[in-house]
Amino acid sequence: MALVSTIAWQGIRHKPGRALFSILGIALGIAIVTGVFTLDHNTVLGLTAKKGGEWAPALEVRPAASLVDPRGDLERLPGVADVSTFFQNDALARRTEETGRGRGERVRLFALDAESIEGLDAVRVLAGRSLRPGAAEPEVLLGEALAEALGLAVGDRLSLSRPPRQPRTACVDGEIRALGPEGEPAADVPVERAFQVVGVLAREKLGRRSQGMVVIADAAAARELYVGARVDPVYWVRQDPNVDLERLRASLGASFSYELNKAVLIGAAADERAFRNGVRFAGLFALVLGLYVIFHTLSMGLVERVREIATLHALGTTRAQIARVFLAEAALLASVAGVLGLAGGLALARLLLVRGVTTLGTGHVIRTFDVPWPAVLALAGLGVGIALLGSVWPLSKARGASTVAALRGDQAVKSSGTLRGFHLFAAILLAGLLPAIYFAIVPVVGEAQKELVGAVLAGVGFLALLVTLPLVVPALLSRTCELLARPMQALWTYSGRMAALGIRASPSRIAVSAAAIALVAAAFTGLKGMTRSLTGEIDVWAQRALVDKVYLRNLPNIPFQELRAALTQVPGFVALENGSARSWVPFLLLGLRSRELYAHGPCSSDPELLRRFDRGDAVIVSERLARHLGYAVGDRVHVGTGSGVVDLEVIAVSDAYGYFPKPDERLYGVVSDQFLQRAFCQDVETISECAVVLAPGTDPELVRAALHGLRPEAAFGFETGAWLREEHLRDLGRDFRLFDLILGLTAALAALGVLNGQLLAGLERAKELGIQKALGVTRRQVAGMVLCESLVIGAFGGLLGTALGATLTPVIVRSLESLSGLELPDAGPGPWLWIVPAGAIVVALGAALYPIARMNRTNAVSAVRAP
Amino acid sequence: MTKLVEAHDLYRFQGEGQDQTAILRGVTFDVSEREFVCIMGPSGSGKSTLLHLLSGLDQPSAGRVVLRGQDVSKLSEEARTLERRAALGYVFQFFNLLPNLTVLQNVGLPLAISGQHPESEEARLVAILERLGLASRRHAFPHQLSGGEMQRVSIARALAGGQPLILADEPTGNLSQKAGLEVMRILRGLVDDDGRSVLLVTHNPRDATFADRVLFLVDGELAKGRELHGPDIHVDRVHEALAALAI
Repeated sequence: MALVSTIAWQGIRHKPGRALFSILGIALGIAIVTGVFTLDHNTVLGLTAKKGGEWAPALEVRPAASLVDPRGDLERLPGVADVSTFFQNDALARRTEETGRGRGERVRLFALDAESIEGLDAVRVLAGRSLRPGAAEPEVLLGEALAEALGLAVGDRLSLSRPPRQPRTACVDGEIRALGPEGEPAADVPVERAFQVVGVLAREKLGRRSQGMVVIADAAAARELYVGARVDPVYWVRQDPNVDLERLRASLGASFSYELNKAVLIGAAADERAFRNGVRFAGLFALVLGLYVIFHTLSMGLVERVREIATLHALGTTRAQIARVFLAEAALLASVAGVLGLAGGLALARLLLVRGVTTLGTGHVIRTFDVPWPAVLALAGLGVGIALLGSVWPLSKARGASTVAALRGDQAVKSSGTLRGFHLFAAILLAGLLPAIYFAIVPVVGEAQKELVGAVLAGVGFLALLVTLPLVVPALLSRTCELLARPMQALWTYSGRMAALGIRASPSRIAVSAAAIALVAAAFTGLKGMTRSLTGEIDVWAQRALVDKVYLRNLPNIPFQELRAALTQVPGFVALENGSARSWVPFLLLGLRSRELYAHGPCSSDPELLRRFDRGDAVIVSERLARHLGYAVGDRVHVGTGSGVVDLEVIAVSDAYGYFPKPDERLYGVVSDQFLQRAFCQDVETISECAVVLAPGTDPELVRAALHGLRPEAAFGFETGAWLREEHLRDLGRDFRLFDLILGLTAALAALGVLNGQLLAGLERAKELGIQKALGVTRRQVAGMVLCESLVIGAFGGLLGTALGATLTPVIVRSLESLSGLELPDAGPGPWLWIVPAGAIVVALGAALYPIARMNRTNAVSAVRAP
Repeated sequence: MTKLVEAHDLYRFQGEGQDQTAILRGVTFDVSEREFVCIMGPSGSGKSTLLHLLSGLDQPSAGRVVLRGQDVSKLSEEARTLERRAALGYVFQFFNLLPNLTVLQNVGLPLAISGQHPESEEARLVAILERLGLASRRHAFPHQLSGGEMQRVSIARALAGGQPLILADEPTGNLSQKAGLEVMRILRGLVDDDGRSVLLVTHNPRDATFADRVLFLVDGELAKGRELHGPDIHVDRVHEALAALAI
């Protein structure tokens, strides 16, 4: 133990630079990966908490009238994890032993299938148990407040009855009407039934509804209370997180209408999944890079330590003792790095949340901060574990080194074989084991579709390629680097020549540093290529949906005709789109007046389309809605209305009509405003929000002037389509700042790799350096030597990475297209093709500064004196 | 007297096939308790290789090394290491001090290797350093010492382990005349005062005069009939022997 502590501790203490940079490499990798995961966890948690006041299932589903066995059909759909019949109603509750009526409490009754309650995760039972399917006596669960109010406990009995009520109303043919009974008329005297209290609910989930004055009963038993009353067939569905939401929605769309609970499904939409998975992959990428850098540091450090190991061995230290010493040192470094990385990761996540940066874009205010300890500890442990495993390889080589050769000052370890083995070992660990364990701890968000699996495999393959590059083509890398170094020999005779010699002598070291730079350069190029494609997509969409429009909000309910009359005076006025008539069915449905469609978009060239739209049972769906839910022209869309489910025929797919910025929803359909009026009793005659379509080149300010002329006193919101387009592009830039940040940190890691490589090369060549200094080499020439080498590393890594990134960009774009449902043009990396290599050179040169300072401190006398 | 180490007909070859060369050829000799043996030879004669074989760091191509009665070649690497730890102290030509450890920590290293706590033996370690004139330098690091000081630390380290046999590989090779003389006096003192044995390999005739017995290694073979014995080994006699061997 004394030996372990003495050697390991003194080794760290007296090589603080090496220790610090090793710790930094591991810590930075762990910090990024834990930070990203914690950020994602809090993003989903925070946005869910913000959206959801009351607990509700992922989907509430209504079947088409034609279905014989809706529940059975639902259970068979992919993506449905659990189904329950559901209805809720008011009820009167009293202790069964109390006589007389009207003395109970008015409560909210939730009726669910007893066997599905746990599967839906709808309740938490505080005392007692959940409902038992097929119980002989009807059972209920009580909210805590109700149990206190009635003084009921588990085992007591409770009587429930339907309270006297007004007839239920709904919108039928544009009028609010009382709904008649189903079949038999409602009984004059409500039915009362006794139930046994089997459990009391905690004040969460359904137990929180109606301030805890809730009763949950089995649907079949509860239905008896409302005999004769109309109860629409409704089902609650829990989504299977392993099946993508779009697939579930698409399969539901055939026979069901549904409402999505957006609070439950935060981050589950296709584009959100793509973004979150991208961030997670970026985290893995950072961890791989950090560990790759450290692996190489450890491997190079071996050269420096072989003589020390030989001395210890000559003095009688056993191989096992030597292993313990160096493992202890690696464990100490990795543990400190793990703790620092974990703390740094949590701090990073907190800082990003405070600044409104989330894994679902920027600008979200999330006040909660929850640490998912099991996952972050596992991630930190993974980083530490792999770093430790990384130390095993050089250690095993060091243990096998020839003591006699080391004592003589000869090469004790065969460098070519060792380095080849190291690269293979690193590739297996970093491109095989690490991603496998990482994706077990942080699974990809959503369904493992072939596109997603393909993207992940492509990413891992890309990592493997770069990690193994120095193994596969060291000679080629060396020759290329020499070629790059050639002009420097002419420019800076001594420094350039020595740098070229150094490159020739250590092709593997150069290759590893260049590969680290190339990894980051490729990721930057790929990311920038992808964002340019996303920008292109917004441009294309904005051209179709936005640019020639002016959006007006908070209008003082102006009659449609009056507003239109005023706007027709504006030169270049084309059409008026009403944004006030809207409903969720479950996607956004907007009601537009038919005659406003004829002057622009697909209807302008197809009178038949306009005629069918005017018929009232047709819908024009947006491009994104069509892609996400698989709608095509001719398909039928089921829409739940107050009077039942009705079918609409998809007659066109177009973004030309109906986009409104509040909410910024690109999944929508457009129907005739008359349909909205009939089905949902929407007021379609007055307007509080609208889009004014203008001919290209029309000054939008004319619309503002016309509005002021119409309602001089009104303050209203005014946004032009061109401004909104810019805002979308700015939003995109903001959303991708997180990626920029992660890649910025990985660039720091790559710089650390270059720094470590140069530093260790300096230590390895201390004698050579000392001789050169003794022969009169100036500090400037030493600096020039290192800078030349770094220039080659930066240029080679930057060019290689950019070339790889540019090649991968179309693959990334196609994967993102499949995952997100966006139609992405191939924009390519554009100016990043030269910005990235230039940045790589700057990073590599910056990383050379510290090694230069260290090398210039080399004591020529000591170096010359050493064997 | 008990023999501490015996070499029996040792051979060591390097390379393979046609490139194979013999570094040692049939070397046989021994070192007894309280004996100072010096092996002289020019560079490349196989002196250091012989020490590596005797210490179990390297394996002979043929022949046997017997250390304290045990045939080293029959031991596992682990057992050889443990035997080396128990029987041998090593003094290297290039000192081989661990650069990150202080003088005191370097000297205490054999104790730490044996699983003891050097702190508990600090008084003894300081006494060893005092004897070698290094007590005031005990907190210095190797790079702060002169060559002579570093070699004395190396000797102190060999002393601290308490092993009966010290192997010294050209211990004055990198030292000044004065420092080298001082180191040789110390090594002699280890035999006379501490009762230890020293096996010295060197090509310095002056160093050989401190030994009880001088053997000459030429081209991997011990020169027969040229052995010098006795307390009165003078530099002239060493030079004569070297000249006779055309070294």
